[in-house]
Amino acid sequence: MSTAPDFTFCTVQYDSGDWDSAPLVSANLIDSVARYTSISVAPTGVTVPLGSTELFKYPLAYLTGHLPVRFSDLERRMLREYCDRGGMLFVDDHNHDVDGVFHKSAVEEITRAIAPLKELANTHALYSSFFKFEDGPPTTTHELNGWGDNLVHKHLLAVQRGDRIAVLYSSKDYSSEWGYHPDNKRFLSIDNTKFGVNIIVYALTR
Amino acid sequence: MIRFERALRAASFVLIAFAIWRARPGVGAANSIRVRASSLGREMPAIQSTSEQSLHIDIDVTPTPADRDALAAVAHAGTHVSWSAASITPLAAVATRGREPGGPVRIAVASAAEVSLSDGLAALDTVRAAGAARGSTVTVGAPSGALGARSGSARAPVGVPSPAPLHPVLVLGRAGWEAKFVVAALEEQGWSVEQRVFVAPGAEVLQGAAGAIDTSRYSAIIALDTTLGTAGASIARYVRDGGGLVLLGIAANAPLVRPIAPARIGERRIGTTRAFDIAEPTNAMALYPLESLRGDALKIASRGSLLTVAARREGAGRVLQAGFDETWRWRMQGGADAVAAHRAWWSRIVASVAATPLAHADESPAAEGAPLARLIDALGPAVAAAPESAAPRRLPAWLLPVILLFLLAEWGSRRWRGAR
Repeated sequence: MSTAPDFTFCTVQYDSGDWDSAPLVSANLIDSVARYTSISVAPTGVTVPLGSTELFKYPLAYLTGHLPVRFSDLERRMLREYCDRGGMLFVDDHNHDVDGVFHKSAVEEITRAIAPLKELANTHALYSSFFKFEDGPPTTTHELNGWGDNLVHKHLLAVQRGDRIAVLYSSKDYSSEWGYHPDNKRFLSIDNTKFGVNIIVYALTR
Repeated sequence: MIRFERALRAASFVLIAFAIWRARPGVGAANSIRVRASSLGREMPAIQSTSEQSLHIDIDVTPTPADRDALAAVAHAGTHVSWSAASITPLAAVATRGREPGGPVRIAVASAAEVSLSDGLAALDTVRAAGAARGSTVTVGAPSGALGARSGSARAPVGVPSPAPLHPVLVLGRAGWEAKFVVAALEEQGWSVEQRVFVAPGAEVLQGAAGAIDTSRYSAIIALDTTLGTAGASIARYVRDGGGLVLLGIAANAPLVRPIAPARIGERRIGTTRAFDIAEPTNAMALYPLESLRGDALKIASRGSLLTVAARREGAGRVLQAGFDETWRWRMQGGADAVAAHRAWWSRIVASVAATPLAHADESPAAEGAPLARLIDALGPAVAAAPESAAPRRLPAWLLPVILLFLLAEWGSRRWRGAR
């Protein structure tokens, strides 16, 4: 019997909102992990309902959307237990808008289910887990183009358990930034998914 | 007549002096002293300065170690010391501390009767080590103050070893959930953990300084797979020097550790149960069964007919091989207690091989946990009954009437002849 891959990209499906708004992100990050690391990665990602125990098979999960996020009691309970056991949830605001409905409702739900989000220091191990990001989270074209809230967010937010990240929250809209077919990386002078590799390596090692 | 009166008076004085001498506490006749153990503290100065030839102790309570040692010194100085007890319960209680951070204290108790354990704060537990052949074991987290065991009249102060000073644990392997959760479990249990996790050629995730692999630096090394990196070349020497090594799953196939592994591994098997059962959670884990066990290896655990855990000594160190794979699934997918159980399991695994600095080996406290054995060791076995010579002698019943009679006779004689 062969062993399972070390990493399978997991997108969280939640009852409310448009959880499937960034379908290309998983393929793009899987491609980057395979391209830059020796981590054995499953060639396709999975989508797992937040209220399902299947979630516990994937200790890193990705959640995004544009619409309001309202977790059910079951989803809230599962998310709390997931983080208590050591799982890490990466949430990205696909609106890139701190006044947007996703941001407001998602932050509220995370606070309710786990704990309030706090600014993550730009010196955190996340920014050096594989590639080095000395200025913290890389900016996205959506920030630079003035879309959404017209802000360049200097920090990511996080809920930490001890020195480990339980929930990583981004207002930078990496879901749009990474939402393209992996073949198109060749048109980029700098691969903008490298920070995604850092998130995955961090989750796998811390 | 006067001579008769003087004789009576002198005899009275002699008898009174004799009565006073006999009435001294703890003093008997025939150069012997008899003392109750409960009054040893009060009597010890007199005992140590006495010139009596024999001393008998009635054990009504367990003598303190200081009193017992003082009695042994008196015996060595030439006084015959014996002891007897109407009833004394043989009791032994010994505490050991696991080689884990804040290691739990395990108290092994043997007694024919019920034993109460307490620390400086309160009672901890009551155990019945029936049969006393095996005794019972009680595990307490962190006792406060003096730990003691009591069974009937026997009381035993139990010395608790100080926590072993432990060096960090080094985790080696490739980036994956196993590395993440093993590190997390050990850190949550209080271990200091360093890791060297292989991510890509030339890229390792380091936690802690990448220093030399040495027993002065690491208490144990955990190899999670065959990816040992630059540390691999030093592991065999490290173990022979006294280090501890844990080989998980396929790690035993790494060429650099295969010669010191307790066994070869067979083909990977899936768990025999789908869910992580509380009683036997390892049944749900994937397993590389241990095969071709080396002659000097010890079987530790098995699943049915499949050997799962084995260990052996290599030089001054120890190697433990556990055939399990993906233990992290236990933590993530197990029951409500899975996080704590997974954490404790890994801590025990590491503690079973962890090297402790040599300086710690001599710090174990004196075994005061077996008062009867220590008493016999110090003073010899009990005598069936108190020696006759040491029996307490009350004032003879005739003594006071005779003294009174002598004094009355002397007084009457004087009055008879008109003297005052």
